[in-house]
Amino acid sequence: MNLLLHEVRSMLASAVIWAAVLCALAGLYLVLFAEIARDADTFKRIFAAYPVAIQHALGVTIDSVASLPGFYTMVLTFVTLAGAIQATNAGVSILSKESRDGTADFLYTKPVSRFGLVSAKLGAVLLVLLATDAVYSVVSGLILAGAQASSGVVSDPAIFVLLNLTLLAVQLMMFSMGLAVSLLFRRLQSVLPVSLGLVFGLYLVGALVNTDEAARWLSPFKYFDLHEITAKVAFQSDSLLAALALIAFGVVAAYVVTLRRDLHVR
Amino acid sequence: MSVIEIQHLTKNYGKARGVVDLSFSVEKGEVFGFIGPNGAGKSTTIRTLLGLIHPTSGSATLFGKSASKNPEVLRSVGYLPSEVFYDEGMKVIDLLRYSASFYRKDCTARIQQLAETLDLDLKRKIDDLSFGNCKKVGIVQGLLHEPELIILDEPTAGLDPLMQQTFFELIAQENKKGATVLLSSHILAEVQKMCQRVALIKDGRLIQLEKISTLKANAVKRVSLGFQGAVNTALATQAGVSSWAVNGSEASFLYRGDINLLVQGLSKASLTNLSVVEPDLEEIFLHYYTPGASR
Repeated sequence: MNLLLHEVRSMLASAVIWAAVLCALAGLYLVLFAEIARDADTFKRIFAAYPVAIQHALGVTIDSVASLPGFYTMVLTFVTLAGAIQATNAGVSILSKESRDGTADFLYTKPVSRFGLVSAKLGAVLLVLLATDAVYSVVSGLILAGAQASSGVVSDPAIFVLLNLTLLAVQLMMFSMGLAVSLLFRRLQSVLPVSLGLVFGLYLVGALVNTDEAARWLSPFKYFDLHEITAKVAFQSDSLLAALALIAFGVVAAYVVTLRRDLHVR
Repeated sequence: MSVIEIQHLTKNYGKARGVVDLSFSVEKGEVFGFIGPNGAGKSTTIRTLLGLIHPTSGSATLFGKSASKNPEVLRSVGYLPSEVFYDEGMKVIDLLRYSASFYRKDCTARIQQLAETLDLDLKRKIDDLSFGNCKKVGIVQGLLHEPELIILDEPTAGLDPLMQQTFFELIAQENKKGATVLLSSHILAEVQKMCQRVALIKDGRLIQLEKISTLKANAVKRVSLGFQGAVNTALATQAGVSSWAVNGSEASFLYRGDINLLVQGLSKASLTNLSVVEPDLEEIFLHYYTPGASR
């Protein structure tokens, strides 16, 4: 428990900043919604003029961009991108920290099993991501309620809950990818270039494929079809299974590699 | 049961050698020296003992248990590595409290006492500490839970001579209270001063395991001679003589073997001066580690 609390404490400051970034992104975009809803046709024409790839990258669907859930899927694309950077950063850094900072001799000679150590570290990241998303969900919920009140159109709140849960799912998948990539390095000197490269690389792959193509499984950003979730108010089971498999892959790899790994002096 | 038991331990790093077929044990209450040059395999052995690295073959146990399989055994172990690194954003006291939290006992008074002994400011940030002060943090965090076994890997690097003395007094006190100590070093004076037994390691292999007293008794002696007239070179060929060097009418050499035979040999020479110096560990060390030298 002490290790878990220590890890949570060490991530707290950055988690507050990330939560603020996610909330600010949602706030900035959603204040535009009232204007877009008022002049829907003009905005649809503007978005329709964009190449399809750009529309995909921006998460825009022309038909629904003027409805609040449709507009929110676009907002969520950017929020998810930011949330993915937070999660990937945590994934790349959490187990590589000791070899990078030379603190392995301190931590790994304490009377804690490596299994317990990995569990505490992964648990700490999970708590931080859950807390970040909880703050975001409350704040975005308030902003969405305000946007609905001003536009006069009320949507099923379950849609927004499910859409926000895809943020957590993508974060967990990217965390898992970050973990797995960090395990490939004996000593990872710099976290940010790796995590940013991973996020933007996979985001770009996602932008180039449609959600109905098999290639979408290459990018965690495309596992969940936000428009289908909005339409059916439910997750697709294949998306959930694939997400769980990807998360499990990184987590299992983290345990297997860390339990076997030799820890060297910096 | 030995506190430390190493049996046929081999560790390879790919094709590179770590340690080869190493065996020794350390008994309860003992201060055991572990000597070897850089790269000999001392840290590899210690890191295997602590479960930081896994053996290729053989075993390394603490209190009869492998630390990697039974990490609980590390509750009774204090470890001071040669280089210490800590979370630089933390204050010294917070780091020490965090370290203490792993041992499920109140170490507050002990931390204060050790910090006073070592003149360590607990309120400073790790980031602001000099290398020597960081080392002091390492000493406190290694001893704060009053471990039954203290493992020291090149412990005095970075400490000034006065602090080294304080440190060894601390270790001697812990030993007096019953703690077993494994002291790995290439600074032989500290091993000579502290240890009852010593293991010499060379190229990953154990080359000698002796009581300090036996090691010194059986080791080479440095003999210096002044001759009346020319140096008697016949002595150079006497059994047990090595490193023969002549400077004018003076000669010096290392001698290993029965001292009476040496005296008989010397009796044939006409000398102006004779000195037989008890070797210190430095000389024993050099003898063992000179490339090509053998036992």
